[in-house]
Amino acid sequence: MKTDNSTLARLIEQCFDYSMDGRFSPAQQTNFLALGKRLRGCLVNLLSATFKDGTPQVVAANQAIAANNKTLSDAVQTLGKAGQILNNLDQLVGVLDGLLQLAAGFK
Amino acid sequence: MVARFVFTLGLVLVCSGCVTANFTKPVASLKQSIDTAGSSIGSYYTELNKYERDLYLEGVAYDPALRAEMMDANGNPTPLLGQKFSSESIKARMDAISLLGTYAGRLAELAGSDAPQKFSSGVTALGTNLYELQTTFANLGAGDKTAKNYVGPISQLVGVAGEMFLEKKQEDLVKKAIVQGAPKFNAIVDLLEQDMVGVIEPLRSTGLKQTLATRVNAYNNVDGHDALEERKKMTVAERRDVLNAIQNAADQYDMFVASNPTGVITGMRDAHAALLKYAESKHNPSDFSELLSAVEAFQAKVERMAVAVQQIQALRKSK
Repeated sequence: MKTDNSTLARLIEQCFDYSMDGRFSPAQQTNFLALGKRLRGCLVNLLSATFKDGTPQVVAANQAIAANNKTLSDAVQTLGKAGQILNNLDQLVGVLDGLLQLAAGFK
Repeated sequence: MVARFVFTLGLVLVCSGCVTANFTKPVASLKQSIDTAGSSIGSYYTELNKYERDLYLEGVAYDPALRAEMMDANGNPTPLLGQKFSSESIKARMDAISLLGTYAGRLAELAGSDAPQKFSSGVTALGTNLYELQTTFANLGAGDKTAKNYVGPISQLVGVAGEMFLEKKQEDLVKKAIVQGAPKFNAIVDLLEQDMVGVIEPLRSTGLKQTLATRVNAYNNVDGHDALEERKKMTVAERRDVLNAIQNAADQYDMFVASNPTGVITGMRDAHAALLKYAESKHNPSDFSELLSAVEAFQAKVERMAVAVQQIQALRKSK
């Protein structure tokens, strides 16, 4: 099985979009840019990674990707909870980094 | 009566003859578009590692805190020299693209080689013969005493009909090649589409957006604060330089989205499906126009993509 890379890519683009969005403070913009770059680093590795079917960590990671993407797609909600959302994204980077240790193969 | 019979026979043969000749143009057009698409799509594969290296160095250039390194602090290779995508994987994709071009080339050879040209001239000859026959009959008297006058044209007609029989075999060969090639063709196109949706587009779209966001943030912010003082210190020309780099990145992103590489692959599948449908059809005019529409739509997508790929490459070189 694989991670949900299409949703992850949308999530990353959204991070970059918010880093150029004047509704967020310069500090928040800077954080979105940094997290977008780290998430993209994960994506580059995950694109070619395969995992054993049903790997619980991958299932959980895909749920986290979907949940973060859903939250992030709502700009107003993101504005109101920017601190918490940035924190969640930071945790997601950790989860995705951890997945690479479990990858069954790269192709 | 005889004249009407011969004329009708001639029309039937001419019309059925158009069928074989009809394969030539769409197949040749399909081949050309597949070649162009293969070249454009192939460039995304061959540039995979270089693109990541460029992006890595771009990030280092805009962030003085970053160092350019071959390995990061965790001992993982950075894109500077690391091959994120193996050359074997890239070669496999390039081979698949090449195979599509070879298949289209063989099909074009089969559909448009010497025999159809002979066939085409045969149809012209047949038309001329029919015209002359008509004239001859018009000059005939009521008694139809010159029956021998149409012995010649009819014998020519029979000759053309025989040639058509051979061409029919060729048409069958083209049809067979298309029908037998379709599953393999579709399998390769499916693979390319999966790659495009699952690898190429996510990498490029996020990479291009990252470049844009990095340049924008370098202009707007410094260390998490508004870079107002830094901007004030810049001359208009200096600000213009930075803004030109931002514009360049925005243009690259726009062009990539507009080039719609996945749409080109979808168009390739649609065009071949239309060719297969036509090969298996009764070759009515509506079947043929459906085929032409699909091939032309694919051609238009390919041309847009080819232009966009060239423009993106030019923009990347200019900064």
